[in-house]
Amino acid sequence: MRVLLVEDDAAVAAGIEAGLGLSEFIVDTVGTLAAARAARQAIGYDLVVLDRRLPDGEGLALLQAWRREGVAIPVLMLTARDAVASRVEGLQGGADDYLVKPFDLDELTARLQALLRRTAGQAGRLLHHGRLAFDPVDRSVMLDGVPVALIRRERMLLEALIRARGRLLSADQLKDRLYGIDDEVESNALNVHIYQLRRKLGRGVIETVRGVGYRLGSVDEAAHA
Amino acid sequence: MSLRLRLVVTLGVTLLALWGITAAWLIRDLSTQFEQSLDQRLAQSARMVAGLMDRVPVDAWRGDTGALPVIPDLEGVACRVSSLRGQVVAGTHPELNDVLAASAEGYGYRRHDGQRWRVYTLIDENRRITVADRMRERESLLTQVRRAAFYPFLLALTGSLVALWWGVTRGLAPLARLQRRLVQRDHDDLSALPTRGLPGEIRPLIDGFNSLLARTRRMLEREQRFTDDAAHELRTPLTAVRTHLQVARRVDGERHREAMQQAEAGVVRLTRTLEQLLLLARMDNDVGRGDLEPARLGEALEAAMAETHSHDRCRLAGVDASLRIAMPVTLLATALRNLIENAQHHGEPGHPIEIGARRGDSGVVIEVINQGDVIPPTRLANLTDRFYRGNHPRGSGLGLAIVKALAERFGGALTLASSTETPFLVRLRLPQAHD
Repeated sequence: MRVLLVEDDAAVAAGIEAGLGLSEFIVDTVGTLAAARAARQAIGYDLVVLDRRLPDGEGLALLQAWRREGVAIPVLMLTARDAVASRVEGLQGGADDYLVKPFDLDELTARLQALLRRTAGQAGRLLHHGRLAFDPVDRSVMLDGVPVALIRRERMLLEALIRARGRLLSADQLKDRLYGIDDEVESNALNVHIYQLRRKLGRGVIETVRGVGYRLGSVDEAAHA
Repeated sequence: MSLRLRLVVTLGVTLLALWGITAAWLIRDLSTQFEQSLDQRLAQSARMVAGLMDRVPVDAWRGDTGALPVIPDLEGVACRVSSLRGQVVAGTHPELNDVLAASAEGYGYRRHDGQRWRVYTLIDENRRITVADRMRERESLLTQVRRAAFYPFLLALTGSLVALWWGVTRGLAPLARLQRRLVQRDHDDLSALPTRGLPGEIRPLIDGFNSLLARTRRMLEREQRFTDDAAHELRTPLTAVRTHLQVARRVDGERHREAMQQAEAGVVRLTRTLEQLLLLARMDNDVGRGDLEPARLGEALEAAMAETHSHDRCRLAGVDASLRIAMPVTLLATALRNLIENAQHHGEPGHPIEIGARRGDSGVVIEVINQGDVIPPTRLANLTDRFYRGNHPRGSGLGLAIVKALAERFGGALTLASSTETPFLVRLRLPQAHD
C-alpha cells in the first residue's frame, strides 16, 4: 500500500521510509505542507504519516483543511510534543492516530496496518477472499490453508486487489501501489505480475475489464492442483 | 478582620461615643436650664404674691382677725405670707411648716414627709413671702422632657448605624465583586481581570496585578515554546537513531552499513544539541564568571577554526590577534565556533567566511561575514531566538542564541545585518580586557 510521509527531517524520513519499505509499503517522502498537498492530489495514497511541525507551517492545519474538503484518507500524526492536550488536539483535528517521537518502528507499522484494517472495516488480522487468505502483517498468502510463495510485488499487487474488494482498479492505480516515484517501471511489468498471480492462484483470481482496469475475481476454480 | 468589619466597628464606636457625649451634654444642659427657669418662675410667683399684697389695704387683713385666710390646697405648690415677726398672715398648706417656715431670703431645698421641695423666700420691708415647688412634679416634668428628646435621638442613632453599615457595604461592593471573581477563577487562568467599574483606590492594584499576570503569561508561553522546541530538537534525532537502528537489525550488507551510519549521525547531532542546551542552561544559571582570565583573541580564534575544520575557508582580514577580551578563553572560543559553524551551514558553499576584529569605541568588535541570500529584517530579528532554524534542517537552531547569551553575559552585544554587499554580517561586540 502507498504511504505519503510528510516529514522535514531527512534523517528521520530516511529511517521511516526504510522501515516501512521492509513491511512492503511504498513510501513517498515530502518535506513541506505545500509538497504534501500537491502529492496527495497527484497520487491516490492509502495512508498519510504527517509530522506536526513542518518548515512552512503546522501539519495539523493541513489535516484540518483536508478534512474540511472532505478528504477522508487515514492520517497518522507524528509529533515531538507528548502533552495529552496536544494529542487530544491532534485527534480532534482529524488525525486517526497519533505517535510521539521517538517511536518504535514496529509500533508505527502495526498502527498503520490497524488504520488500513479499520478503513476496510475488516475484523481480523487476515484478509479473506474465497479460499484465499492474505496476512498483511507477516506478508503471507494461503490458498486453502496452504502457503503460496509469491514475490514482493506480487504480494503487493494481491493486497491492493483484495483491499479494493471487487472494485475496479486501473493499471495506473495498481502501479501506484507497486512502485514509488523513483522506481523505474518497465512497461509490461504489471502484466508480468498479473500473469504470475494468475499462474499461482488460478486464472480467475484477476478479472480484466478491457480498457478500464482490473478487479479481484473468483478463486473457486482449481488453481494449482 | 475584614475591611468591612473594621470600618463598621471603627466608625460605629466613634459615632456611638460622639452621640453619647452629645446626648449627655445636652441632657445636663437641659436639666440646668430647666431648673433655672423653674426657679425663676418660683421667684416671680413670690413677687406676684408680694405685688398683690401691696394692692390690698393693710387693714383689710389687719383688722379682721378671725380665722386665718387659707387658700384651698394646690397640688405640688405652696405659699405662705408671714410678718417679719414670724406671724403667718396668709398661705396654703398649714401642715407644711418645715417647708414654709421662715428662713433667709433666696433659694433652698426643704424636706417634708420624705418629699423634697424647692423653696424661695422673698423678704420686703414688712413681709416675708415663701413659695415652694414640690420636686416630684419638677422631676416628672423633666423626665417627660428628656423622654421626648430621647426617642428621636435613639431613632437617629439607630438610623445612622444602619446607614453606616449599608454605606460601608455598598462602598466595598466593588471589592466584594472582585473577591468573588478571584475565588471563582481557575488556578491556571492567567487572563487579565476586568478593571471596569473599579474604584480609583484599587485600580492601580488591579492594573499592577494584570501586568504581572501578562508578564507571567508571556513567560509561560516562552517557557512552553522553549520546552516544545527542546523536545522537538532532542526527539527528532532520537527518532532517527531509533528507526535506523531498527532497520539495521533487519537488513544486511550495504543497507545495514548505511542504516548504522545514519544512526550514528543522529547520535552526533543529538550530542551536539545536548551540549548546546547544557551550555545555555549553564549561562542562564550564571556560572563561570569567576575564572576571569582575559582571553587572547588569536588563541580563541585558532581554537574555533580548528574545531570547525575551517582554516581553509576562513579569511582573516585585519584581525588584531593580540586583542584581549574580558571573558574566559573557552567561552570566547565557543562563541567564535558557533559563528563560524553558522556561516558554514547557512553561507553560500564555496565562498570564504570573512572574519575581522578591531578595537571599537566600546570594546572589541568582531565581524563574521558570509555570502548568501539577503535576509529580510523580520526574519533577521528571529535568528537569535532559541531553536529558530528558518528552513534550514541543519544545525540545532541554538548557535546564534548561544552567542547572544554569551555576549550579553559579559556585557557585550550581538547584532545581525543583511544587505546586498554583505548578505549576512554578524557583529559581536565584547568588552576589552584592561591590564
